[in-house]
Amino acid sequence: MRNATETPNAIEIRDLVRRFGRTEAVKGLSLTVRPGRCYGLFGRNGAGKTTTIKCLLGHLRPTAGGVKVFGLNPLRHEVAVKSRIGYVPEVTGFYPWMSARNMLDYAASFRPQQWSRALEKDLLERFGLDPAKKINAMSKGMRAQLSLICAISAEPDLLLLDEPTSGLDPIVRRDFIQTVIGAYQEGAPERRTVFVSTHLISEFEGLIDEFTIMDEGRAVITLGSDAARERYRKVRMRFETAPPAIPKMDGVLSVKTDGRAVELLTNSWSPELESKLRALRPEDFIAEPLSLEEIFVATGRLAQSGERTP
Amino acid sequence: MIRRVLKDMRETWPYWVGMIVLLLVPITTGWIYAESQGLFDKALDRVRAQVLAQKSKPDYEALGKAIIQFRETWQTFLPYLALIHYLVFLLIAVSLFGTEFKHQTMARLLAQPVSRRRIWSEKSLAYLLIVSVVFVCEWFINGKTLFRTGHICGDWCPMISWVLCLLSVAALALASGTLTSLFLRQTHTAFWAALVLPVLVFLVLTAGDALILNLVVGFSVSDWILNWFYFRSGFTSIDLFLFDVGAVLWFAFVYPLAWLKFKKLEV
Repeated sequence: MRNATETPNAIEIRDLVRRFGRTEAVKGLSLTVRPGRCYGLFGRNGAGKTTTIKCLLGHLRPTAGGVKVFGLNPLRHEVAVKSRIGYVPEVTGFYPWMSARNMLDYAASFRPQQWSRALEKDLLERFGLDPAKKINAMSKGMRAQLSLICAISAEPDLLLLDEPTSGLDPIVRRDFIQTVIGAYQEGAPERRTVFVSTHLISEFEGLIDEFTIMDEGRAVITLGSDAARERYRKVRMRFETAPPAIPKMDGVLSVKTDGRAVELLTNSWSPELESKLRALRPEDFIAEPLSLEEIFVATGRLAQSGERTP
Repeated sequence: MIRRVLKDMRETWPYWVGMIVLLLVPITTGWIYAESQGLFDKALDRVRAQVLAQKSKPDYEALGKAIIQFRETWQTFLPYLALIHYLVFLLIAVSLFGTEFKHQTMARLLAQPVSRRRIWSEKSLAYLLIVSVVFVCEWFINGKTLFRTGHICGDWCPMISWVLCLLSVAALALASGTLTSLFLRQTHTAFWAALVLPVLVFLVLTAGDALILNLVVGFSVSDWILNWFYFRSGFTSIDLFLFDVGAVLWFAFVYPLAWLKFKKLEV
């Protein structure tokens, strides 16, 4: 049992199931996000990420299981929960006749006490957005920026980002995300939580503390980023002659042979595994951590083949 | 709250401003023209002459009824006015929630820290304000024409009847428009569905006896009152009475249903 004075988890999802007719979009998902963390929910399109976020907002009712945001049920305590959430939807819909200024004032009208005009001004300047510009004259990227300003200027405790960079110019993406998350967490990093769902993982490399990879509504893996980099390794070996047959070893996800070179992916990197591989006497031996995107791809393949990642 | 209510009013302004301009100006100018040419007086004289010609001794009771009938003849254009009001109010009602789906802003709106009951109330308030603005404009313009002439609204019964008619039209449009826009999640089909749905229901209830004018189910409420005042002894409009009951039932059933739909809405 949690102590009464203990800070509740920012997000707690337990055995969440959500069905749409006969389709099960989320199948028993469980995860916990502590306050102050930047949490990634990764998965391919249709993995159940958006459905999960909508359950957190109370936009969808769970078929089974439950979600809690700061210890509260979003369906029962809708105002209390939403007052602590800033949400950037996947589709950046706006009222086309409004200007950026109108939209920000409209968004501020829902949270007059919380809204930070200073942060709003700062973000407008960082993005170079003209507040007088009409939304229907804005590019997709500008709309995404405005959407983020609307979410962050309220200084929420939890920022829910649903595919915030999809459809954006790849050059803009990384700066954009780092600017936003940087600006958001600058104020009170120990309190401000980011929960981001995306399949464009590389943009969030270095920002994510912990992540869950979903596939077909299930959590395939949940790990801290550092632990993941520790466990997931790509080993490149080059042999003097034709490489020997690689014996079956626990934790080896794939082995690729190309001439005298062998590339091996593992999710259980350990000194024992390293010794076993070195025992094969390669002339070159390089073991490097996988990026989050490579981990995502590797676990995605594993999930497709029907195996479960430990 | 004011900003959000104004936003909803701004969202639908082409409909209601257009209505004020397109509906009231031609009617007003037409009325002023008829009045300036003395057309009403001439028509009344003809009625009076007809009644007097039929009897050597004037029958004032018959004359009174003839004049009332004359007024009601003029009032036949009121159902069409009511129909236009209904169409425009329906467009506005459909737009209240329909445009949130159209602009894909419903998820953003529902993510804001206000309860759904409050969102519902604010949108209803915006609608009420729009209807009030239309009515005030209409009252002002009609005050310069219809009511002043004394030909149509010379006494309080028809005035009350007309106001009740428009209020019921506005209420019914609100109920039907919000329900269909929340079910269909857009504006255009929702508008046509809201238009056809009451007709279909009335066709079923009256076993095919409903007319196209029953679109304006609200009109029958006020018409029943009008008939009750004028023809207390000989009220025969049983159909209208049935429509009145239907109209009241329609609003009482549909509006709470629309609220329940919004309360449970998943986006």
